[in-house]
Amino acid sequence: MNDLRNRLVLTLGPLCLLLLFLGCGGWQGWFGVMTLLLIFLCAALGFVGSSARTEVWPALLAMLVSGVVLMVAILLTDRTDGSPDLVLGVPVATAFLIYGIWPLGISIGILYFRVFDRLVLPRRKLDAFLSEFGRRTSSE
Amino acid sequence: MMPIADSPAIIVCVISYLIACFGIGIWAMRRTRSSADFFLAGKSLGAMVVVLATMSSIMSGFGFVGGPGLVFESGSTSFWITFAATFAMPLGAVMLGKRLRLLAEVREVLTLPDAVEARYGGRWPRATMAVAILLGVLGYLGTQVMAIGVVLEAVLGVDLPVGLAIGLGVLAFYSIAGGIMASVYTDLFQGLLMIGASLAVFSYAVNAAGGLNAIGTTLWEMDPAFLGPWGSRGPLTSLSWFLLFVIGGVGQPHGITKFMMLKDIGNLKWAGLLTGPCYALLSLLWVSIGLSMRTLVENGVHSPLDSPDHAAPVFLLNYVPELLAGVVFAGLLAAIMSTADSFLNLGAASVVRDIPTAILGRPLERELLWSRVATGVLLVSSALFALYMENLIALLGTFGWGTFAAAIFPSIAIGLNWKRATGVACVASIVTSIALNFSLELSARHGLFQLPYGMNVGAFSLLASLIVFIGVSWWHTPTVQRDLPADVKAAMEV
Repeated sequence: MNDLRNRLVLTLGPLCLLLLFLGCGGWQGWFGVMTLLLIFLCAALGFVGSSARTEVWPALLAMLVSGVVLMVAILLTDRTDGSPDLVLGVPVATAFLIYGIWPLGISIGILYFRVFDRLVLPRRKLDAFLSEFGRRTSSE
Repeated sequence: MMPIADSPAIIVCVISYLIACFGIGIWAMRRTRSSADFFLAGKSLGAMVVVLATMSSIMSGFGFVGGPGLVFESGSTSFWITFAATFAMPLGAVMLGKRLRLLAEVREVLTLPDAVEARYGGRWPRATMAVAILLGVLGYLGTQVMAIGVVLEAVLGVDLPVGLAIGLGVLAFYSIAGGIMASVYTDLFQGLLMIGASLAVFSYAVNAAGGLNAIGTTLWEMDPAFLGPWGSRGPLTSLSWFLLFVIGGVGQPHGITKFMMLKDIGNLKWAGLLTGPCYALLSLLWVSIGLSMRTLVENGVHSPLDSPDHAAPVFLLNYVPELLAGVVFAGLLAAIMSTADSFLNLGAASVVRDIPTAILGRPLERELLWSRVATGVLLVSSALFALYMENLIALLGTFGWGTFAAAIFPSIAIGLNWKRATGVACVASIVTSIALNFSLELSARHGLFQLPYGMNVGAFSLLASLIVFIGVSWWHTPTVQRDLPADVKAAMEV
């Protein structure tokens, strides 16, 4: 588990360097994609201690892929000429942002909620922790 | 100056709101008997209280006034700030909720610097974290305090110092008497008020401008980039704001300390699930007023505004029924005061608990009494700063979010998930974050140096601070390796 955390954190370091380079160099598309990677790596780091990798990690990967696809779709459909093709009142590229990227963040919360009792903090782990270190029971 | 809202309905709503805050203060005062009650509400809060208190303390006056103004001025660029919260809030729960709450269970952890000392040992990590928090708090508090005065000046038609005195009187009463207990329960009330106001205003905003398609068509004809995905400030500004507000959102102390206040650890899952969507509801007001008001101005229905920040008040005074405008003005005041009370509590903790503990090795005696005194002193000094040192406040206000993000995210969010992190790295990253944020912000203000392509200073500092934290932790091997205490280690492993 610690090896995995080490690997994740040591991926974050170079990724941040790359983001600085991309941001200051004006490579906006790659900057957007790498920002999403940073966000989901951080989420993965938060889940490591408790995750059954077979359940949490594919879900996070699916969210990351969805985010990257949406970001690419935004870049490809962004245009400022001709007549507007409006989707629910906004241009197509902005629709990918509002109706795609915006709700994507909520999916992290849904995943956390779904696996919390089984994987993030199972009752037996909490009880064992509290009985060994707790100053008082918290869940009463 | 904001447009004057000289309507009886608005005045009644705002005064009712202030009286309700006063009442909650009296209720909370009776329940605040120790510093643990004052700073952590005795770890007694339910899930919905934490969800709404977190949401309303993060949605400051900036969200209700500056947010619509930013949409009015630069279109979709501003979406990347408000949409980031739906990522940041669950991410905070995933990375920190369990770790902070378990730490608060086994140690006397009432503040983030307490958590830093438990994690890294030694006084320097605690001291630097406390100073970073205090600097950020001073900036934020100054801007919120000034906003309270400006709103009451406009609503009640009084002079700014009188508006400040009324607003701060109420804020001082409930924050000093009831500490964080009063703060979170007024936040609960304020959060409900803000969500209701946001939903109601959204429909009025869309209808006033003729519907979604009319808004889209008008704004496209005005400037296609304005309603494009990046708005008029361009892709890199939008994306670096997104990075800063998602990753940096996990480092906002007024949000993440709420995890430590939960009574039942199992309720963390609700905080992770609901805080983001609740904030998304508030974003409807932010986005819809800005777009609608810009459309109305472009179509010649409304005359041009003196300042983009007038978008929200002008819209409320002209395009929604008086009673609803009154509720939203109360919601606006709620947004400002809910953020200010959280910062007052954090600032008092830094002054009374964190900095003395770093210097003397223990908090001040009679901690509860001194916490109340410090809350009052902070409030008065921030009001004086706001009145007489406006430039400094503006600088610190800009610097606040970025400093919290760059100082707190690496040390707390990464540090509590990575055992290899060291105290030296914690100090180095906090110093880096403060130095970079201040120097880059000052350079940009004086035209000396600007980051290229609209890259945001806070995002730049956050990335640099993360690199320093990870790099120093990796390369620096302490001469005496500190073994993590068993309870801290267990809290990081569960």
